[in-house]
Amino acid sequence: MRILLYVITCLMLTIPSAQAQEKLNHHAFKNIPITHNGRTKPIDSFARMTLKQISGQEKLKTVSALDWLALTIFDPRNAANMAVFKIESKALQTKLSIERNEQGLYSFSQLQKNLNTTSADIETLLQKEDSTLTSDERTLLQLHENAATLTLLMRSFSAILPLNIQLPKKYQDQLQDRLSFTELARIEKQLEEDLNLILENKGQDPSKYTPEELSIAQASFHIQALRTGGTNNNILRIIPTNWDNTKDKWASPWAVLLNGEGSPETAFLMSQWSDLADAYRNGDTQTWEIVSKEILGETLIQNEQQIELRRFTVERLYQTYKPYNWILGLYGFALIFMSLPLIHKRDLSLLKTYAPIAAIAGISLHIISILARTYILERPPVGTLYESVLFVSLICSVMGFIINTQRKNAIPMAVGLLSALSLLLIAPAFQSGADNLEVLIAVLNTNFWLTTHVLCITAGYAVCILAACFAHAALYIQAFKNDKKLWKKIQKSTYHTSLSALLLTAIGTILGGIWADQSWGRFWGWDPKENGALLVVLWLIWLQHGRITNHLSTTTFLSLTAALNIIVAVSWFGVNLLNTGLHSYGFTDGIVTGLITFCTLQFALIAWLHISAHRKEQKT
Amino acid sequence: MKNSILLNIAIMLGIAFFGYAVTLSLENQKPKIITQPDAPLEEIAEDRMVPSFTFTATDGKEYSIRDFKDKIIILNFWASWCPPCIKEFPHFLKAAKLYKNEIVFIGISSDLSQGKMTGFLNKLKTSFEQPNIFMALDKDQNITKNLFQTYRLPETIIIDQNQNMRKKIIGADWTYTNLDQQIQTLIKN
Repeated sequence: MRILLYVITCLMLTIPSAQAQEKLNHHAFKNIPITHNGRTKPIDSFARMTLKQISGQEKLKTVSALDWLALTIFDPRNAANMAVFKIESKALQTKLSIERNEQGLYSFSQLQKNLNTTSADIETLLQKEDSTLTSDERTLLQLHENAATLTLLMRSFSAILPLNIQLPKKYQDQLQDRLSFTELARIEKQLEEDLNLILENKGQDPSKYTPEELSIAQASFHIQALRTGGTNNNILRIIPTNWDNTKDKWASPWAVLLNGEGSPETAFLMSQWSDLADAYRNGDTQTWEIVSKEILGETLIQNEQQIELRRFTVERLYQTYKPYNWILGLYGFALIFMSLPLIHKRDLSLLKTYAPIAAIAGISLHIISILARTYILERPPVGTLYESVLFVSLICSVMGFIINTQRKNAIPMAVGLLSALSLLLIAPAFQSGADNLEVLIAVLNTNFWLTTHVLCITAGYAVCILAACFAHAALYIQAFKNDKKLWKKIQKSTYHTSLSALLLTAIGTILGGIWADQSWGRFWGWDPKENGALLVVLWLIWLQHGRITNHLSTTTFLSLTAALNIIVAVSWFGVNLLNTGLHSYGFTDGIVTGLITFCTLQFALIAWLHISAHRKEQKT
Repeated sequence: MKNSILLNIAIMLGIAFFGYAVTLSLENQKPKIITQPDAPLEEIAEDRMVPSFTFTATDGKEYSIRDFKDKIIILNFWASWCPPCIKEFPHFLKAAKLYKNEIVFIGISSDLSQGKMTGFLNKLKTSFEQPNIFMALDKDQNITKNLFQTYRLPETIIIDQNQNMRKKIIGADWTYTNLDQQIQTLIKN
């Protein structure tokens, strides 16, 4: 998609501006289904995601994502003047000769000319290896991609939007007053023949044409230009098509016309969309409301696969309220409530009682969010790396809470919440693009063994992280606090959680093997991800053996358990950097620095804690 | 220790149950395939009644699509200036001749005038003078573009005996065997 597609001169010339808009009721419009990135979703989600991709935010100052989308598809001329492109890089601003503004947002009209001048650079950049691109080069590529996306959106309805074209009298009687591509196409052949005659008689110099001949040439040119602009425009797949059961069931308006997907049903639905465009352009809020309801109803009827509007509602709530921000807040509050009494000597027991409330609220919301994702995406909640981070963080907080209630000790909960909070903070780094409800390859959707294997392994990673964090706490207490009782408790928790981690990761790895045997015909293939999982299991087995046989002192055992964080990070994220093997769904770019920094800091922290604890041990 | 074992067992059971529940809920859903090569003709879509419309055939009489109930209708959108349309004509005529009593062929032309259409038909060596073949001009494109939203020629819709649209053939890249299979399936049904 990195091909520049923003020549919209024709569109801008032929489609007139619409009236200024009043507040529109999006009650039905927001739920209109659209297929995007392999998933049918409410148009509201599509609008948010696309706006976020282009402008870096899901809402512009006073304009909602839906309002922006409606403007872009129904009134492209005014949409071109709306500042939506986020350009933060000063180098890029200079390159594009644009004046810096406060928001860092620029309109299509502002950028169009300068983007054209960088087209040659784009050709060169596209030839380069992805890894060799500089940050500015990436930004420029992304900007061009965003411009292409916006152009596609602006053209998506150009087949049905009214055109500002003066037709020769001889055609006027044949057509309706409201001229659009679909209407003009009825006389396309006639225009083509007349134009051929003109060219034959008068050549290609328009100055020799009569006004009528000129308007024939213009009309012919506009039809061709619109058709060319609509070719391969598949971004707005809102029309259900029912001809072939084995094909994708949704098509964009242009695909319906140009790819032979048309039918009496699509004709009806397209006429409704045309009415909606007119209602928008005329600022007719009442008709907008009625027609958008009709479109929603008609689309649901025409689409043979039942769409549950409930699912759309859940998705909209999820996208609107962004539960992970709330969860972060609740976990943060719980941690502050727990730590305040430690910092202040005064009696803050009242605050302490709020900690479990905030933690329970956070955990409940976390569970609801993961269930909501499962419901929306109709698949297990661990399909992508991003999702696995969300899931692992939930296991951390839940386990911390359970151990807290079992042991009547706040530290496991604090440790669990802290690790959950840290994971949630890094989770966005693993999100690919602006879509946080990503679809994954079909194979990961279906198999019981695979579902259970991934859940088990990720739960195992979560318990590993918890064990490592407990080990950190135990080492800290051993080195700097004189609380033997507390140290013993935490040390015991470390041991028990590391046993649980071994059980979960070992079973998870075996389940993966069973699935691989069924699916790929071999139990074990030395795939990097398999090796990573094995590394965690072997590390845990070594620790348990070392402890049982007394080959490892308690301090060493704790330090090595603390190092589980590094082992898990390497096998969870690190192996993805190799970009080889069969677990391709997890390949992620741009986390190398983060991973190296994390491992180095972890190593330094563990070394420091180990030395300090060891010294203390020797002293006593 | 006992509690830890119980907790581990509970986690394992929970994961297994969750996995099972998710798998069960997904069992009835076919994987969503995004793109595939064109399906063979024998694969038919769900029942959809063809909308009613009338046309004036070359014999000067006006017909309604509803006049052909109980027949398999091959509704073909074509034009004399469209080479692929000409390429596929012989297949339709062969079918119309072979299944005289079962099939009706309706050719809706997007030609600019009646003269251009009939002129072209007369030039063809094959005879269109058969009671189950109807050729009609759609000068205003009301049937082709407005009703069936056909913007690229040729396109053919196969309509069953109950007037349900069962299949659309886009373009002329198909073989007679495919068409024959489709017709036979509809006759058997």
